[in-house]
Amino acid sequence: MKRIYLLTLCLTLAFGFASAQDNSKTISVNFQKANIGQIVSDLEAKTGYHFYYNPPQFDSLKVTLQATDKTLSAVLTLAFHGTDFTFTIKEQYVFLTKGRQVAASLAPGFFDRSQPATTTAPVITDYTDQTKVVKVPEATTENKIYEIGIRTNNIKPGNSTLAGYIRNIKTGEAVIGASIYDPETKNGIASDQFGYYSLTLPRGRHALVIKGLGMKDTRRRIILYSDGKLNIEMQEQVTSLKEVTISAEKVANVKSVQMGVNKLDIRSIKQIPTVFGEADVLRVVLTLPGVQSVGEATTGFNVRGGAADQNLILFNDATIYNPSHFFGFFSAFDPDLIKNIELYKSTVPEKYGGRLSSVLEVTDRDGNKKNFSGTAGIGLITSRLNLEGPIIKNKTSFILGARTTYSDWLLSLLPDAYKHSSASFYDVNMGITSQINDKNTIYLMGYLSQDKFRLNSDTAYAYSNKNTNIKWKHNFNNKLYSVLLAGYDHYDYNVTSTANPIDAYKLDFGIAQYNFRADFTYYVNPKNTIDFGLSSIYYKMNPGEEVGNGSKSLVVPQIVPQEQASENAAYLGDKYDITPDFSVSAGIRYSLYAYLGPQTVDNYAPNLPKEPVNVTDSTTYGKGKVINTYKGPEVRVSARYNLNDDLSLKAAYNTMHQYIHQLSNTTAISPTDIYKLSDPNIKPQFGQQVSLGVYKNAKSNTIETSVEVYYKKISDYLDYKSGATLLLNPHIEQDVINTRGKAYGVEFLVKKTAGKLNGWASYTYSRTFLQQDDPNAGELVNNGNWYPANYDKPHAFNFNGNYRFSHRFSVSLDATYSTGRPITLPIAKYEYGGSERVYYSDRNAYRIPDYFRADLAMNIEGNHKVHQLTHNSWSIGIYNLTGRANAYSTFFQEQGGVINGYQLSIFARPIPFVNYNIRF
Amino acid sequence: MEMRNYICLMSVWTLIVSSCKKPYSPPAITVNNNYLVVEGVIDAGTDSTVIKLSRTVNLSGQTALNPEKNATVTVQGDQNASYSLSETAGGRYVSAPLNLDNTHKYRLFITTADGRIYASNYEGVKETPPIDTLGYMITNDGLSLYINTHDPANNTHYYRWDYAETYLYFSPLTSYYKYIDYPFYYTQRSVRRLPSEYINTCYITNNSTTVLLNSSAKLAQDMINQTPITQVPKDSEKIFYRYTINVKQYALTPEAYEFWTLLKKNTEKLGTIFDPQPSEAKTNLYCVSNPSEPVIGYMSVSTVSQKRIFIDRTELPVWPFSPPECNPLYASWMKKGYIDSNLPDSVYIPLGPIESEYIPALNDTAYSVKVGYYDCVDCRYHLHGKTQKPAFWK
Repeated sequence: MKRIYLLTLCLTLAFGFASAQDNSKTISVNFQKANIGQIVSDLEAKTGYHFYYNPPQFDSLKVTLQATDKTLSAVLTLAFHGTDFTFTIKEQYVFLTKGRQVAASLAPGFFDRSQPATTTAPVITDYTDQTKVVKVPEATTENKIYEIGIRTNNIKPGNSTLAGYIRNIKTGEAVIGASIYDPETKNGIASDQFGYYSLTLPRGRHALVIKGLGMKDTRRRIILYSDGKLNIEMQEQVTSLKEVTISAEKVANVKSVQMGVNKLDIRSIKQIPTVFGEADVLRVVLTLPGVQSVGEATTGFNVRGGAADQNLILFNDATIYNPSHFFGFFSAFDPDLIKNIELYKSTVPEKYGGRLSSVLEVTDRDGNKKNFSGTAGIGLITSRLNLEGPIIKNKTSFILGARTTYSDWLLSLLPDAYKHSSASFYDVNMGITSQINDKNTIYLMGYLSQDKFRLNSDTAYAYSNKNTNIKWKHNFNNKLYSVLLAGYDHYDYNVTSTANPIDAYKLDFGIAQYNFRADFTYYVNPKNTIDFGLSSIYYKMNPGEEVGNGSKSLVVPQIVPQEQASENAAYLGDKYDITPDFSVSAGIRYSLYAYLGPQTVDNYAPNLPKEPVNVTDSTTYGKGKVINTYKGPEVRVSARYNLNDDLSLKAAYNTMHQYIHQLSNTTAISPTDIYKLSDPNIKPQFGQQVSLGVYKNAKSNTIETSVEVYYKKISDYLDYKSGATLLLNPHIEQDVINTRGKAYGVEFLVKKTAGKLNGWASYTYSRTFLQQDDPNAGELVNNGNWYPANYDKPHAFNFNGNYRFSHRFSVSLDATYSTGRPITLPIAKYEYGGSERVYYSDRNAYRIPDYFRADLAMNIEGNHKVHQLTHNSWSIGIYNLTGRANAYSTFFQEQGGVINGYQLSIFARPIPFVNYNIRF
Repeated sequence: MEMRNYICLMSVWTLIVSSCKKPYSPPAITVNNNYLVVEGVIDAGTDSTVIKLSRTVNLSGQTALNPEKNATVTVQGDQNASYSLSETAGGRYVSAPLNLDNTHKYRLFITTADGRIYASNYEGVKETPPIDTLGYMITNDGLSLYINTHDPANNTHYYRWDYAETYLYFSPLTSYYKYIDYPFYYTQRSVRRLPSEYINTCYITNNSTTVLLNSSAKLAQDMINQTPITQVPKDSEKIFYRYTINVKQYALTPEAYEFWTLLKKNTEKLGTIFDPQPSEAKTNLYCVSNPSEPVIGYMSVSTVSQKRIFIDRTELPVWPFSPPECNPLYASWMKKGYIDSNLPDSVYIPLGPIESEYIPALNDTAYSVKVGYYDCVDCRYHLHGKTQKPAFWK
C-alpha cells in the first residue's frame, strides 16, 4: 500500500513515464462488503496497476459488487456509484480521491522549456471555453501558465492582441472597469461595460495583474504566441465590511485621460445613510463635488451649474425622463439590482449627446449565470424582491427586481395639510443576458415604473416610465467589436379630477423615443483606441391633451398637437498616447436634428417679441415633412500629462447640443413638468465647457487628491416669463424667454480608499448665473441683468467617512454644508383684495439660510462563521443628527387678512432608523 | 442548484416624514419703495365706483395700509366722457353711479397730490351675468357656501367674487343701565338705556380676504358649478343665531384673471414641495410721467351682480352650541366707593341700577352696583360689532 500526498503525486507524474497503455484489458471481480484495502489489493493483483489513495478518507466505503469482463474503469465506476468517491487512471497509476477528481494532466506550458519539440499540427488553445477551465481549481489558476494563440517553437517578435471577458467567478456577471495591466511593459486597459477587454502586448511571457471594483486582485500568467482570447474570472472581495471603493482603478485618478468622472459601486452607495434607510443612487450623486440640488425633496440634480433637465440619465442605456418616486424622496432605481453608477461631468464620451451638463449611467448587474438566488426586503415603506439565475447555465441568465410601496398609512400620520393625501409607487426591472457564443452576446432590458399620488386635493396624479432595449455585442476580432442597440423609452403622466362633475377632467402628457445606436470600438494598437458610431432617436410627443371625465363633464377637449422630431448623430473619437506621459483623447460628434410634420407652426414678425399680436401667419406641414433642422459639430477633447508617477495635469474642452427642453416654473422638478422639442421658434440649447485639473495620488495610491476648475457657457436655455402658462399651451414660445448662462467653479476632492478610515471630502466653490438676453423678448426678468440660478450655492462642503473599529463594527458619518439657495423675497407689502399682499423683489435676489446636515450610521455584523443558519447584521443610524430645520423654501401666506412668512423644512428633526438584515 | 434567500427586515422607523412649517421672518429689507397701489372696479352699472389708492410699505411696517390722500381721480371714456370721484375717507375715492355706455372703453386717470400722473389702459365694459344660486351644503365640518352661475351668451368665462358676511352676536352679559357722571348722588348716576342704546346686540361684518376666482374657459358652456365661496365651521359663532352673506360677482378679461391668479398664488400658497416660484403679475396701470415706475393693481371695467342669503340657526342641524361665556369674576358687585373711579372709563359697565339698600344675598352694605367687564358687556368690542341694524337685515 502506498500513500503519497497529492502534491508529490503531481510532481512524480510530471516526469511522464512512457509506457504502453492497456485500458482495454478486462477483469472480473466479486466483492462482498469489501473495504478499500481488500478492493485495492485485489485490483492491483489483477491489473498490475498501482493505486494511490488516502485510507482514512475511505473508512466508510464498503463495496458489494459482482462484475465479469469489465474494464478497470467500469469496475471502479460501478464500485463508486452513488458515493462521492472518484478515480483517475493515468497510465499504470490509479488515484482514488474523495469529492474532487484529480486532474491527471499538467497545465499546458507548465514545463515550457522542457517541452519536446512538437511535430503535430498547431492547436489553437482557447481558454474562453468555460468547461475546459472550470476543472482547474481556482487557487491554482494564478500560477498556471496559459498559452494564448497558435503555439510556435520560437516566439516571434512583435505584438499580439489578447481579448476576453472579465467575470465574477460566483455569478458569472461581467466585471466593469476592471483594470488588466502588465507591470513589465506598463500596458494596461480597463474592461468596458460588458466586462470586455482588449490588450495588445509584445509576444512572449507576461504576468498580468487584474484589479476590479469590489474584487480580489488577481494575476494571470500567459505566454502570448499570437492573437487569442482569455476569459478571466475574479473572486469577490470578502464583503463582511463595506469599504469605500470609489474608483475602479487605483491609478485611474491620475492615469486616465478623462476628467470630471465619478464612479461609484453599489457598496459605496449602500454605505451612505439615507433618510428612509434604503440605498439611493441619486442621493449619493448629490454628495459628489460639483453636484447640487435645490433641496431634499427632489431627485433633480444640477451638475456644474446646469439645469436639472440637462442631465442624460441612462439606465442600462435607456433614457429615464423622471428618475423619482414618491415626491422625489426615492429614486427610480432599485438598489438591489444596481451594480454601479458613473457620472460624467466634464468629459462626456462621444457616443453620448443630447444633454448639456452631464451623463449619469446607472448599470444593473447581470443575472447570476450559475445559480438561482434571490433577495427580499421588507420595510415599513417599501418591499423589494429580486430573483436571478441561469436560464441556460453559464450562457443565459435573467435578473428580475420589483419594488412596491404601501405608504398611505404614513401620510395619514402627517400634519393636517397632508391628511387627505395618498401616494404609492411600484417598479419592475428585468434583464436577460445571453452569451450565444464567443463572438456574440445579447442583452435585453425592461423597466416599468408607476407612481400615483394625491396631494390633499381632489386631483390625482399618476406618472409612469416604460423602457426596453436590446443590445447585441459582436466581436469581429480581438481588436474590433460593435454594439448595436435598439430601444424604446416612454414617459407619461396624467392628472385627473372628479370632485366637481361639471369640471371633471383628465389630462395626459406623454413622450416616447425610439432609439437606435451602433457603437464600434477598435483597438488599433496599445497606444491608440478608436471609437466610432451612429445614433438615431425619433421623438414622438403628446404635449398635452385634456378631456372631460365623466358624462356630466362640460370640459371641452383641448389637444395640443403631437410633435415629432428626429435626432441623428455620427461620432468618431480617438484616444492616443503620444508618449507614455502624454495622452490625448479627441473626438467629434456631429448631430443633426429635424423637427417633423404634421404640424402647424406660427410665424412671427421678425425682430418683434413673440406675442400673439406679432403672429403674421402660420404654415402647415404634412406628415413626415421636415419643418426645420438644426445641426452642428460637438467637440470632445481632453489631454493628460504625467508630471511623475502620481502627479498629472489634465485639460478638457467639450461642447454639447440639447434639442429637448424641460419647462418648469416650480423650484423642484415636478412630475407634471412638460417637455418641448426644439422647433422653428425654439432654438436648441448649446453649451461649452473648458476644464483644467491637477491630480495627485499619495501613499501608494490609497489617497487621491484632485483640484478641477471649470468654466461653462450655456446659450438658449429656456426660462419662463412671469405668469407663464406652460401646460396645454400650444404657443409655448410666447411664454418662454431665451436665457444664457455662465457657470464657473473649482472642486477640491480628497479621497482615502484604504485603511481603517476611508471616505472622501470635497469642497466646491461655484457660481451659476442666468441672463435673459433676447432683445425681442419684451419684458425681461430682472430687466435683463444677470441673476443667480435657483441652484447657485457658492460654497458646498461634503464629507463621507467610514471608520472600521473591528471587522464587525464600523461607523459612517456623512456631513453636508452649503450656502442657502437663492430665493425671491417680497420687499414691500400692501393691501389688496381684502388682505395684505406682498410685492416681490427681483428674481433670486435673496437666499434661504445655509444648509447643514450630518447623518450617522453604525454597521454591526454578526459573527463570520461560514456555516450557520442565518447571517445577520444591524445597521443603526440617525438622519439629520443635529436636527437642524433646514429651510427648503419660504412662502407667504395670507391668514385672516394678514400676511405671514413661513419656511418649509422637509426633515426638521433627527430621524432614527434601524435595519436588521437576515440572510439564510 | 443552490438557493439563497435574503430577507431584510427594515424595522423600527419612528418619526418618519417630519416636514414642518415654521414662521419665517425675512431679512430686514428696507427699500425706499412706495409704489402706488390701485384697487377697485369701475362699476359700469348702477352702483357707485369705489377706488382705493395706497402706497406700498416696508415688510417690517406695522400696518400695510398707507393711503394715498388728496389725489384727483377720474374715470375717462374714449369718447372724451369724464366722471370724477371724490375722496370720502383717506385714500377712498367714490363716484356717483356711472351707468357707462358699453360700446365705449374706459380708463382710470389719477393725478396724485405730488403731481405724478397715473393711468390705466382703456378697457371695454364686461357685462357680468347674474348669480344663479348662492347656496350652502352641510358637511361634516359645518357649512360650505357655493355659487352657481352661467352666461347664456357664452361670453364671460372668467369670474371673480368677493363677499361680505354679517351675523348676529349677543354679548354674554346685558347692560340695561348706563353710567352718567353728573348728579352728585351715586344712585342717580345710572340711567336706564333706551332700546337704541343697548350694547348687547351686535351685527358683525367680515369681508372676504381670499381671492375667489374660477373660469369656464375650458368648458363647453359658460357655466360655473358649485364654486366654493367660503366655509363656516359648525362651532363658529357666525351661525349661533343668524348669518347672512352677500356675494358680488365680477366678470374679468383673461388678462385680469391672470393678474388675480398670480396675486392669489403669491400670497395664498399652501407651502408644498411643488409650489411655483413667485413672480409679479402684469398690470394694466402705468405711471404716465415715469413709465419704469411699477404700479400695482389691475383696473377692470364691468357691471357687478350680487346676491344675498340669510341662514338661521333653526335651518341647521343640531350642532354644539356654546355661546361665549364670561369669567364669573367679570360680573361682580362693585363697592360704592369705587364707582367714582371705575365706572367713568367704561372698563366696568353697570348691568343694573346703582343700589342704595342692603343686599341680603351678599350680607354686605358695601356693595352697591352689579357691573360687568366691558368685554362681556359691550358687543362693540367684539370684532368691531355694530349695534346699528344694517339696512339689509330682515
